Amino acid sequence: MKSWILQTAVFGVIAIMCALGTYAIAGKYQRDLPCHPEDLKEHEVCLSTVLGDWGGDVLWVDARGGKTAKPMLKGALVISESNTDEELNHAAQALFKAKLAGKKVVVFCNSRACGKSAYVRKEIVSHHLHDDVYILYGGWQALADRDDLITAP
Amino acid sequence: MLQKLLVFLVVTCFCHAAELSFDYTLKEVTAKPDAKLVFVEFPFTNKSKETIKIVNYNAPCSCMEARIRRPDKKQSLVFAPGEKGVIIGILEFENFKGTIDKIIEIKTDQSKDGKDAIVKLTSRVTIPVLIGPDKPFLEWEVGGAMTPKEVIISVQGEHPINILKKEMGYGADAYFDYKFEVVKPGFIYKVTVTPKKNNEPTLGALRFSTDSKIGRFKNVQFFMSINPKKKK
Repeated sequence: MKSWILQTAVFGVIAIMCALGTYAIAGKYQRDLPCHPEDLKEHEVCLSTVLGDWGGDVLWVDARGGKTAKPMLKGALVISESNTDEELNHAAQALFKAKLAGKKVVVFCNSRACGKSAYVRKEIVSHHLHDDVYILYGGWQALADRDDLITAP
Repeated sequence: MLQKLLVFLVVTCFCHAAELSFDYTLKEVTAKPDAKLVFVEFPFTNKSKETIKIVNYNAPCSCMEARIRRPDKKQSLVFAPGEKGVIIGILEFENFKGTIDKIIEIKTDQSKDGKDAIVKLTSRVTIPVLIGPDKPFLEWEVGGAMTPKEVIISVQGEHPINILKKEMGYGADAYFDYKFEVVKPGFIYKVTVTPKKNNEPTLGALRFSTDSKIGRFKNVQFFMSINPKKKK
């Protein structure tokens, strides 16, 4: 009885020491979605560029759509492909003011492959509401761990 | 020499994984103007000598589902050499109109160059626009000429759509005046917009309600703006 408890404790201590050693060498676990400039398509941008080079001073546009409640990005405008006309109408003034202020716009959807961001970007630009519009690489997957930017549903 | 050739052939066999052969990976579809659901099919065959298993088929967009259909009716995602199947994309559209690409990703148990073999199937869906403006915006410049500009709203197809109500948004009637004319009842309308003043940047919108029975064509709109002078 005592021997297996002792063995379990020894293995536990070894595991903790390995974890601490890994942390000391490699640092905190990086949850960020990897984003490499060579992987970016036209008009795409990495989250690191938005938050780093641009200081996070952008107008966010949420193109995810869908009817279920979900975490939202603070201050993001909502323009989805399913109700573009209506939502563009609501968002137009904010987009135009951002354009006058020289503030960039970044559109995101659920993931990299969902296609909605490209459509919404095209609608914003073709209506001349803004001309400096980007698509966030990785979409919501890139943002999901950023508790500082997100509000609960 | 023969030994080198043999090594080359063995290495080549391991580098090229078996793949499912799709008839096409891009399918263009034009749906009906009142479409809410669109089905897009991607037939495929296992033309290789290996048995291939589909481990995942996924449409990253929440508006799209992916399904698999087998002509042989087997309830299996494993395809022996020569067996066929069809990936079906089911797209749901609310008020969307225009053209958009939607992707389905198919992952098999094969690997290529050390990475998972993923095939991307693109559905390019067009929902025809029955009524819309010939330009989505009109622009003038601060301090520039306040020239009247026109937008033509036209109806496609044989069924007329009548404009019932007009509305100017963002309090823009302080900055813009407009004249609405029916050129051909039910089919062609002309809107002429003239700025009243252009001393500061302003955004306006003109929105029209129609009698279309299709929800996505119940409203038509375009924007107008007075923009800052362009820097030379």
